[in-house]
Amino acid sequence: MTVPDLGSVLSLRLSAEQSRLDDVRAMLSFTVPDGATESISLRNRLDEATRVVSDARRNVARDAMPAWEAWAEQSKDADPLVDQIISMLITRLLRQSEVDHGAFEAAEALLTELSSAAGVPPVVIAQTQDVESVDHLRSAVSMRFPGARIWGLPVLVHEFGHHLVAHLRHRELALADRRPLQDLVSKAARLPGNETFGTEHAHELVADALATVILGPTYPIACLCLRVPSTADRPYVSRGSTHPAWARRVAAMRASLDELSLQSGHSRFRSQRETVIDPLTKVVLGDLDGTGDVESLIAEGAVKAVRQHRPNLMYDGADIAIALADRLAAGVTEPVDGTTVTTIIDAAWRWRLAHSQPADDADVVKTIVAWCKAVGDEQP
Amino acid sequence: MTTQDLLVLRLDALELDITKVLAAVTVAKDRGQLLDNARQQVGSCRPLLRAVEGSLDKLMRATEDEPKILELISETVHQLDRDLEDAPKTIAEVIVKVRAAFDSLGELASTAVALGEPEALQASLKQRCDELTRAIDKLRDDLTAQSGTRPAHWQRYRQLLNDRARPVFAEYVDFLGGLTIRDTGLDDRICEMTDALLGRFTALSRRPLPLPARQAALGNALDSVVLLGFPEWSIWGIPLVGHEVGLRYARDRNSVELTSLIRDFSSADNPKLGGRTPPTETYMQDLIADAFATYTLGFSYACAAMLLRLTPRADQSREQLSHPRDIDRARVIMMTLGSGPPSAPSHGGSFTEAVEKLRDIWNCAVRDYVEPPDADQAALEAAGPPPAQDWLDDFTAAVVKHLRSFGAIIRPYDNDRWMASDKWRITLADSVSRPESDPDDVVPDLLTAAWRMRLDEVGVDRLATDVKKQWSELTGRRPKGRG
Repeated sequence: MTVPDLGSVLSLRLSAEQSRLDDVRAMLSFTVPDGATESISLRNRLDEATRVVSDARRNVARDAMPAWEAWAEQSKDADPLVDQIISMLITRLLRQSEVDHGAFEAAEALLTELSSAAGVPPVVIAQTQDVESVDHLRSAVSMRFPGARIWGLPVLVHEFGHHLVAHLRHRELALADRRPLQDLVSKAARLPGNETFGTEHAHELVADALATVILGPTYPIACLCLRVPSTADRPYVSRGSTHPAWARRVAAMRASLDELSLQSGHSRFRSQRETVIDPLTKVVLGDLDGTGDVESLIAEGAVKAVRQHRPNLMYDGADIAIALADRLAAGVTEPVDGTTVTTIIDAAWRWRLAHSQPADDADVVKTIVAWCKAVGDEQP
Repeated sequence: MTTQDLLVLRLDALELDITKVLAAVTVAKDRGQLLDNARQQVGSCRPLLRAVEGSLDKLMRATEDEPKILELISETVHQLDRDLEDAPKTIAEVIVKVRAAFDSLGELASTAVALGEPEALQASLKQRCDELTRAIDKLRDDLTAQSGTRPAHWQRYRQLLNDRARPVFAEYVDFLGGLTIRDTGLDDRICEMTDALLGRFTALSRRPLPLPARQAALGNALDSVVLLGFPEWSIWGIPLVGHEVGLRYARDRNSVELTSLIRDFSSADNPKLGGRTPPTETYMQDLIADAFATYTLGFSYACAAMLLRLTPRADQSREQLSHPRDIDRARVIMMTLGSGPPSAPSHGGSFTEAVEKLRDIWNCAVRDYVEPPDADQAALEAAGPPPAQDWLDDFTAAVVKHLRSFGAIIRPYDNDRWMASDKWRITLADSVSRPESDPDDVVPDLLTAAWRMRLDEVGVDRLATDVKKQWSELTGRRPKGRG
């Protein structure tokens, strides 16, 4: 038996890699139409990965080790690219098969609405089995599936919040390169008491505050009902490097509601905080300490920044949501004038809080998805 | 000569007054008749004038064709030619004036308020007058038969006069006076708007005729009349009529469920009374009326009641009163407002904010009504006891549940209506076109919008003018009186 040399082994690997890239190219053709913008950039990246393999094949004949080292360095994009395309394929298959019960379509309509209102680049929706996340490079938000179906949509707004931090421009043209929300994150990260995981935690708290500004009380309600662990975290003790303790996050959301009332003159946000969020917080987390300086600053800064630079992002749809919730309760499938995806989500959770037993879900979810789809169909 | 019996004279005079009062409805019905007669007379002149105009026209043409005719006539009658030349113009002017007189008489006749169902009014009045007449006859018979003592007879006469006859006479005066005020438009068309609002309750009972009066009340002798009390003769007070309708509803003994509800909560066995004196039936009926009015008219009733009528006084003890304290009435109103879907808007939107503003005004007033050291206690009293000891919250919830069971018969002021009032708010604020509304909903929605704006401190006079202007445009009638 002949034992292959280094060059032969590398050739074998390069063949295998080329097969993988060919399969991924076929997946991409199945998932995204050839002319689509996203398809172009992905194909470019696939072409680049293929070129790297071709170059390595040429170089291996001359000198295997340097060729191998060069290929190892240049092919670092291949794995993430494959992950991304597979994720897109799964998303498409899930949507086509309708096992997602319309959740992805609703999510897409939500993110399109928010991107348009914010004047930021659009984001695409992808699937993950992990927690939700945002990929700034791809401008993609990954939604957990299987997950809470449409009930989990508010969590996507938190991820959109991260996207907003990166892209929301200053409203004055001369200062268009400034990112006011990025400034807020930086300021919060430097506050005393926030030193250990300053920037990471500040990002998360700002995203929580922004989600509250954009979605109103529904965001903290959904978090408390679906995500906050039932045993209380010790307040202000970090859960790790990526996210602050839930007690801090909920404090930021509550402070944001109060700031919304203070700065807008509409008492409804504070009122909902008092009558719904606080009792829910007590049930899930127990008695909390007062709001910390970091959370207060973030709440005030987030509301102020959105008011100043993108006021139409501020949630103002409670009346429409109340009307929609009444319709859900009455089994009426016609939406009201002025319905948006954010008001639909608000209405969904208002209905949910009044009907906690899942027996009523199927028809109501169907109506909610239909409304989101109708709004999505109207979007440019 | 026999000395006449003064008591008999008084009874005769009383009987004459009753006869006059009995004619009230007929007098009211006929009051437009003279105007109608005049209009008919004037109207009948028009074809006659047209005929004269036609004949004159023929004569003028004949004289143009044969000028000699005119010369011959002018030899006999001095300046006839000149008079004939002016005649067509004069006739034309007369026809225009007669037309204007006809139209004015028509408008005057149309302002006479229709009595709706005069037979029903007459029947209820006759019933009360017949009762009085029977009582007079009985007393007269006893006088003749000399049964009982004279002082006792005088006592009976005084009670008959003060407790039974005078209220009917007062209602008679209020009725005719109110009709007159309404006919002449001196009520600023408030009664007309109230009439439209009462359309909301027609499924429940016969639609009463709203008339301005000194004090708000349901008609007793005339049970199809509802009296709008002064000083609430403004658009702001219109929703208060809901309380009178609610009172009639609460006193209806045909509702087994309502009777049972009143009995349960006024029972001495009610554990939440904590051994205190149970409330009377009248007490409960007053509270049901407030819940009813709030349920059906919503925010506009709450504002009208709490900001125009109720006194923010917290230092009365409940147990010594036959009617509920105003602070308890306010609590029932606020609890009904907050009862949530399907009969009221849900929490957390613009409705919540509006209700909070109203609550803040009332709570400040409660505190300000007393000396500063007593303010906290007054606020506590107005807020009511803790839920475990409070029967008023359970009572309100039970009344709302009862009203909800009626579906469309008792129409709630729900979120759809609140949203509609928002459209009216935009119309009033920005003078944009009016929203489409069911006729029974226009006035409640318009008044809710007006009260919302008033709490947002938009100018009161300007708002009232704009509301009346919208009403005039809707009904196609020119506003009467001021603004």
